[in-house]
Amino acid sequence: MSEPILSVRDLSVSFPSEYGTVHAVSNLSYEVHKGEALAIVGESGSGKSVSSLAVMGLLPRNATVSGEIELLGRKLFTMDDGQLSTLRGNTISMVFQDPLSALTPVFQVGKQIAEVVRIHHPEVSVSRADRRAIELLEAVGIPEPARRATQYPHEYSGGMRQRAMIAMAIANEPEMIIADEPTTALDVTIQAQVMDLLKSAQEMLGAATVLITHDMGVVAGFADRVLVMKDSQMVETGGVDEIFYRPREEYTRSLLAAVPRVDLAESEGSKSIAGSALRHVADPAAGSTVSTPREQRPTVLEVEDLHRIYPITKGALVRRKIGEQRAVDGISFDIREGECLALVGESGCGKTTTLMEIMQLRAPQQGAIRVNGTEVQDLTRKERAALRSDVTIVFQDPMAALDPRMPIADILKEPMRVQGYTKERMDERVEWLLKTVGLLPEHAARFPTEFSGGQRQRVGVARALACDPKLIVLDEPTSALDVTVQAGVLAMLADLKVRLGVSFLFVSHDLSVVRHISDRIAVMRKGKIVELGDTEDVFSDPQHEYSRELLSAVPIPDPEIARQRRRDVIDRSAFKGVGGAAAGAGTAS
Amino acid sequence: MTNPQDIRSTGDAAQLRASTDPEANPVLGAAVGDTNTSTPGGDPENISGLELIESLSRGELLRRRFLRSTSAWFGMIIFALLVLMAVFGPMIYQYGPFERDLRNALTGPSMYHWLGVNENGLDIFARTLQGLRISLVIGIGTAFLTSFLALAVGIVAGYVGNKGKWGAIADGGLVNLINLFLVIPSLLLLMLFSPVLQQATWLWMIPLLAGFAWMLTARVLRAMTQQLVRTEYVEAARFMGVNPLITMTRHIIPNIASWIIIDTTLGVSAAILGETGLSFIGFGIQYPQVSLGTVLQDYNISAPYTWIPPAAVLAALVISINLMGEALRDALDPTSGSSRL
Amino acid sequence: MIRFISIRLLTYVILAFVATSFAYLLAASLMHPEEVLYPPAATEPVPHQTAQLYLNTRNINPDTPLFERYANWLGGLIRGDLGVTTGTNKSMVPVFDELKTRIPISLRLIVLGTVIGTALGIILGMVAAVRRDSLGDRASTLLAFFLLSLPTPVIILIVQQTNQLIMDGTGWGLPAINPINPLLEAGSWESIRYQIKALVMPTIVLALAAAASYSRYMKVTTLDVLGSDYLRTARAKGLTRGRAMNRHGLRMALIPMGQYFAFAVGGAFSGSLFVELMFNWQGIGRFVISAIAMADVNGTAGVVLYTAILTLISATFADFLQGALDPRIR
Repeated sequence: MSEPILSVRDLSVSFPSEYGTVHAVSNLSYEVHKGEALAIVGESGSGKSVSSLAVMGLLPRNATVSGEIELLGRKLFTMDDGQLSTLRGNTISMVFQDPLSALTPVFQVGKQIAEVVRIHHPEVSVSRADRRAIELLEAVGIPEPARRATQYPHEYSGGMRQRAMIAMAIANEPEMIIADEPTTALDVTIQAQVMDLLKSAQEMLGAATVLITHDMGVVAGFADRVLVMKDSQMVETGGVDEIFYRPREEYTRSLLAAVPRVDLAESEGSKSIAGSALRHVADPAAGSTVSTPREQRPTVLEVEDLHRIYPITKGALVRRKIGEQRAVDGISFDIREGECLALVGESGCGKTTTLMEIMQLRAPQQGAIRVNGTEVQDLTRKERAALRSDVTIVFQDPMAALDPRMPIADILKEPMRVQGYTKERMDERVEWLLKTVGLLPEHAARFPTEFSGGQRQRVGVARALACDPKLIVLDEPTSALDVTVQAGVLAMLADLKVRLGVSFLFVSHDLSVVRHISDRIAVMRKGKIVELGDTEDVFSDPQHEYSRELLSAVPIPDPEIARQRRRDVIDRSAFKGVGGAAAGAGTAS
Repeated sequence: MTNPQDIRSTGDAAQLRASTDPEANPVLGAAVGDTNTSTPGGDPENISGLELIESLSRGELLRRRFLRSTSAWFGMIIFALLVLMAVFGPMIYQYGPFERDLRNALTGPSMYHWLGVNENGLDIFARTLQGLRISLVIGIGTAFLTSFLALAVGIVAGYVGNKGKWGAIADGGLVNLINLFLVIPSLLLLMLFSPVLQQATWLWMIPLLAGFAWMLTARVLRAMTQQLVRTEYVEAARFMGVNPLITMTRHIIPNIASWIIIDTTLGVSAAILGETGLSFIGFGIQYPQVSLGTVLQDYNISAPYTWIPPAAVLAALVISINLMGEALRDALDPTSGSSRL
Repeated sequence: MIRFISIRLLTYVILAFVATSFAYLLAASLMHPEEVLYPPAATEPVPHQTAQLYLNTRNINPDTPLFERYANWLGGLIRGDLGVTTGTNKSMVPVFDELKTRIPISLRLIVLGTVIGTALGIILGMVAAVRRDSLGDRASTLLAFFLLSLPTPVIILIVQQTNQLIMDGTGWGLPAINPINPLLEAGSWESIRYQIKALVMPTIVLALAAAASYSRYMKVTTLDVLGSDYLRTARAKGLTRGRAMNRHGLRMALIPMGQYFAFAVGGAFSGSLFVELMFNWQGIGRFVISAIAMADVNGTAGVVLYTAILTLISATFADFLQGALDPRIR
């Protein structure tokens, strides 16, 4: 094999903190060769991002670093900021996680791309660098690149911003690209496009690439080699097939097992062990639905032709309506007892608005919402308050959903107090609730900050269960959790559904997650439900084009399948444009 | 470092397993797999997240950080000394603040007049002590009243802001009220009001100063409340049918309490400075009362002892309060300056 | 951008109008100019007729309903007439003329003090943030802390006393009082030199006060910027620490400063009040102190109008600056 482009040996990074030194990375070693893609995988806090910042020399100043990093044979730790600057953006470039905050808001996108050319090639004239920026934008698939180049980052969509970031990263044809969670902030269809773009760009440049991610599905389609990290240390490393099909370490196995798979049916035959743990999640749930047919069970929630329209107004003093945004545009569905309906769609499709309309328990702008057969708009104030115990909600972010100043017991008692429970009954129920969601009764006196994310989400579920609800609305309950924790919470939810017979309205952007827990799926797009049907039917035979698109965009945690799906998307001719030749000559590579 | 909101920890899986009854959740074991025990202390990627994992209550942590700071101790000691001096000083000192000793007018410090006498024959030490008393009362009283006003306006404006059309109108009205008070030259209005109201009692100074000092705090509190109202736990309380007033007292005020405490502390010094300025130009505390501002008013540039004692006491007072306030702020937000460069 | 500025401007004009009206009504209802003009203890009572005439021509007759006086004053305002000064002074000097001669004196102080103070504060704050925990940072932070803990009169006293000590020691010092020397021929080189020298101390006082608060704000916003993702991106592009800060950070850090600026002018006005009083400058500050002391309703209202316009201009300027710096609000 050729000389490695980047080699990291015995890298350790630590930070001083309130509670002593924190070791973010300990004794990490790896090498990346020309044209190779290495994926560093780990859950949050595993030290994967810190290690890449160390390579870039962009760690905070209070960090203590030891070990050795060599880029093209040059030892990075012996270089000062000025010398490192000549490498950054030229020999080694980076794509960051959140493209909104990573671009300077007050400069035009084109100027920001041109800047990276001009920094390393001052001989290129300003107008020439601007032209080069437009070519780069075209190469990464931004429509109307000339006009878009003069726009500011806030005028771009999330996917376009990440494309611009990639354009910036490839501008000087670097030997080495580091991508730090490049698609985490993006919708699944956009994620697929951006990953394809990144892969094409890497292949075109022949650059060594390090992809940092928590998503095993993304890894399968991108990487040649995989390095698994946990708690600041390397767990194992190996070829992508090896990791996915024959992992040696237990942690890798459990990480893979907890990954939900959208291709559940085919996964039986797949060589990848991904998703094996979640296969069991669906089992008890599936068993119970057979008992009584759907039509004979009572309807818990019925939504009929629901509309929510926001006016778009203009003018500061006299507001005129200049248009309207149809956030929810005539949707209808119903949920029977003991059933889980998944509402799936990408950001901005109106699923959260739908949730809020249901949770308000007030007359909608148009259409009807019926809970247990009663129209919510006919409710008196008292009836509405009573009904609040029947329809409860679990929020997305377990950090924000619990008041940090309240002990768990008070949090759980809050809904019961509103419903006028007696003190003894509340205490009794708190204990039962904690047990039901898999926590200990002793936890009642603790504060939310003492719990981990998964445990907090369990408290959130316990609060939703407090007054024996008929329906629990789950707003992306697992999207803020690590994959192994997510598997645990999903398993608990499936178990609750069977044991307590509650119904769920499960809102998610992630098709692979809902596959394991839902009985029926409603796919939402632009305020409308484009497809509604049994989970199995939707997955095996999606009727609507958008459902198919969504399904095909979900990354499959199986390298072989993922490789077959890859597309080449970069516009090579645009990249090699006039300016490219000049910049290329400048690099003299 | 990638995402500041990301405070999930790797300890999660292990902790979950350790604290969960496997009988209650048979599936869990399989899903989580056999993870190795994680290192305690959790999340190295996000340092500010650490405090959340440590099982210390927030108040305890604040107290510890506060007491660790030397400037907090300095502030507390100086402040305590000044308070003791204000309370007991006039009891033991032989001159009163209004006793005229014209024979010794404009003489420097001596055995009898510890800090000298001004040109009107008034003892400077006695006047400074009396001024300190009044300044302390006004400073503390005004700070509390200011915080109360700001709390009322800020929380109401922040809370009703997203409650439908009428809420938005009420919020807009309050915001414009805040802006109006900010545009009004408050010093001029204080000068207008103060002599009129003080015909009744000098204590009018407190509501008067508070009436022109609450706006910036109210603005901050409004913004903080708006943020809190959008959090999911306040939303959850709404969906449970909790009364808005209870939500405010139980969820919103406790979560901004530490900020209010800091602001009140710093408000004491701001009020003292405001009162001093006003008294200095003759529109503050009126005869027969003295504040540090009125003592300062009798300065004589050719006799530094006429103004240095009140100025020094004033500076010590304000600095000690500010030291405590800053230490509190640092204790609350120790990561405020963590930089990437 | 133009739309944004004009909407903000309109809001400010309304606010300024409301504030001035409010001040007029307050002044007119709280003050008793007739008692100053004709004290109850006056030896020889003025004939009722004469007194009424006097009060009416000055629009301060307490027998006229408050709102009628207000309407009269408003009518004058539209014609550009702010009424005449009252008080013990029985010569009817138009408030407008009084302001006209005094505003240049005060404005000189405020503008110089604010401009120098802001520039100094921004530079100090930024340097303190970038070189965090260095000697310079500690020194400037400590200095700002002490300056903010002292009331303006004490700062003035310290500056004056220092000047006095230097003068006593070396025989050379700056003029302690008066902006102009009436003994020198107006317009002469000597007179201009004296004016410049007289300006030094007051400007130092105002600039120090402004710089102290600005450097603190600037430090906070700069620290925010230093922790931002876009600055990291800028460095990942290959800019060194300093160049990344200059090209990307500075502009972002200045955006929130615009809002502080709007209020700084108000602070500078109160500062100039003390300066004028203690350096004996015949500016607006001294005028308003005597106007309020002598229950001069028209004079007070005139000064309030002036400060409102000053705030209005600075707030608009701040918005303009923000609009120019930040494309997101255009």
